[in-house]
Amino acid sequence: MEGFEEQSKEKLPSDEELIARFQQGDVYAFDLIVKRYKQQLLNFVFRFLNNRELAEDVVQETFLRVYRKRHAYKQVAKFSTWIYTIAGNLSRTELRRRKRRKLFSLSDIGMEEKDFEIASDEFNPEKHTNTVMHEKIIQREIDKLSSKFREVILLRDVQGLAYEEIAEIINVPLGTVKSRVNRARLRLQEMLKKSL
Amino acid sequence: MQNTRDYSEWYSRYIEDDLTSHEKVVFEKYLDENPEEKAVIERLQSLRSTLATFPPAPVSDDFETVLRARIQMEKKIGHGALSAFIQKWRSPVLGFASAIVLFIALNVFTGLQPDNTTGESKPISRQVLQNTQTPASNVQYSLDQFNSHTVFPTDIAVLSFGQIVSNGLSEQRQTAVADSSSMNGQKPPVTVHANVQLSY
Repeated sequence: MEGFEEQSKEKLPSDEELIARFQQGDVYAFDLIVKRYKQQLLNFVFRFLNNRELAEDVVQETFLRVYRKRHAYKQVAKFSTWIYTIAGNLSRTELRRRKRRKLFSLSDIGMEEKDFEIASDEFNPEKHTNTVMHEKIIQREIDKLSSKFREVILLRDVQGLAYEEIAEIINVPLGTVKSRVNRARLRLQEMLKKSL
Repeated sequence: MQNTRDYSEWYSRYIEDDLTSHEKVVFEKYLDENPEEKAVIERLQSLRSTLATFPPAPVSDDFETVLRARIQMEKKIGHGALSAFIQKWRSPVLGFASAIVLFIALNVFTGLQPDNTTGESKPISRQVLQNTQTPASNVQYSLDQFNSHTVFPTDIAVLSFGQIVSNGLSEQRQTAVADSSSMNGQKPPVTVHANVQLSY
């Protein structure tokens, strides 16, 4: 049984294999890409924009771009880098547009009212409330960071990407990314010290 | 002796365990000497673990259905084909548009000059004044009438841009704007309707 599981894991195609299959016309490979990335991209974009509806639109548009521009992807870069670059660019554009139009509504300032499922077997209402409150406060403070700081801290600490990959995604030198993440963390903890 | 070295770039490296063993010893000594900085490190560690366990944003149940529908719609509309079409025809269209703009600009420019054939450039404005009050059904203008104008070269060019000349004035209701510059700036632009109505 264990051997079977290991065998199944080995058979999972890599992202690069999937996009290569898609480039050759295998639409099913695109579906697998969507399944694999929709959750993590939504996490990133949602935390970046702090608006779930907009975030879903941006992620949809990201996949549409992948669909349209599939032949533009070259295997010199990781597929995840490519798709995060698209999502990041679209998110930044959306953020600029939102700032320009000053469309910040009250609901955008804090987290949306929807609560999130907490990955816990035993549901503790008090703990749940505290966690949600804590999370809301952190998200509110993340929102106050500049988009440069916000992007790197989300990519590093929420998405867990390597510094090297972040450097490629936002197209800045590795040293700059490390320094930016450090400053973003220090800024955020300073802000949270006052809020929490 | 107080350690004055700037450790600001070491915080993240410390919490990510990225300092060399020597750097780590130095930094921990610094933290021991500065309890407020040690508190910063503790807050950074706590923040990092909280961010790493942020609950995922829920994806809509119909996310993939909507995406498929959008892809299908694009296929029908032919986003790719449309892009290719735009790509292919962009230069000719831009060229044509530039020619039109140049053509109009040239007309405006030449219209500013006094008419060489007669020494004045007012006939069309005079005619406009004469016909402003005339009911549309009573007056028919033809190309010949415009041809006979002394300011013909400038005005007819503008009129032909409005497609009056080639069709004849009586066939369709079409509009052209006569060039006001041909009136030496004396009159506002004149709108010429086929079948025939002249007004300011």
